[in-house]
Amino acid sequence: MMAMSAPAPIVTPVESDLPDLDIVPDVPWIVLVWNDPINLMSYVTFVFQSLFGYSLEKATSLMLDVHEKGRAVVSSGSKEKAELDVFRLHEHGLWATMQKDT
Amino acid sequence: MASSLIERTPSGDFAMHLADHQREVLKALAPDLRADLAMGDPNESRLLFPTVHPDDPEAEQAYQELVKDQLLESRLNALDILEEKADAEVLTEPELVAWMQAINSIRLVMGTRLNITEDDTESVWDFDPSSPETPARAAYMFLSYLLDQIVTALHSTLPDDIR
Repeated sequence: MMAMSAPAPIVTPVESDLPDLDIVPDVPWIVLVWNDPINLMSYVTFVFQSLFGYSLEKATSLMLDVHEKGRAVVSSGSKEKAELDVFRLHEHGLWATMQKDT
Repeated sequence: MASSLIERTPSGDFAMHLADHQREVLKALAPDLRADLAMGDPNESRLLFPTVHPDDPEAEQAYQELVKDQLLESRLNALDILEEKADAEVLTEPELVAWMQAINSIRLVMGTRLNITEDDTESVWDFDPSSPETPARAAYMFLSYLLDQIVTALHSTLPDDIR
């Protein structure tokens, strides 16, 4: 809980309070959807809207990127979020992969 | 194809104006997908169970162990609803979403088996009557049409601000 009345005391951390330097910082992951010849354009647009709440304009633009450029980044976040998004895209039959954002 | 196959009712459900022979196509194809899922042919079902980490076999194995069964279960649940409700005159929204997922799964397997390419969508109605693939192609095209109708119908369920 945060107390607003008194200034927080300055504490010098002892060594054990320091974060373990071996821990890799939480690099965001990106979720990609790849083009395939079977999924309908209208269906792909609808899936982007219903799963991610994207506007029709944004979902259409992502769908066209997939169709014309072969792939598009459709979401990003923690590894867990990316895995969930990939799973939901697969449930809907879209070809999704995930990778670390470089 | 003047009128739409699916209509939103005032109560928010969906009236399904499919002809009997169209429902028969669904009832005939659903068991095929169930058999394909049971067999797990990695080539034909590659779009149903895609690779997630193409460059990292270890991560891929860990991911598949985590979710493959869940994904299979989700597909079977959708297929159950499609089969149980194949003759229904009215579907609820979750039932129509299940139809959508199951029909798309069937299309993915059929399309892969038929080697559908992007060019095929340009000449979809040019059937060669003598080809043994023609019945499957016709069924595939019907599913594509029906799926497009389902998407149009479900569009009305999206929140107002993104429609």
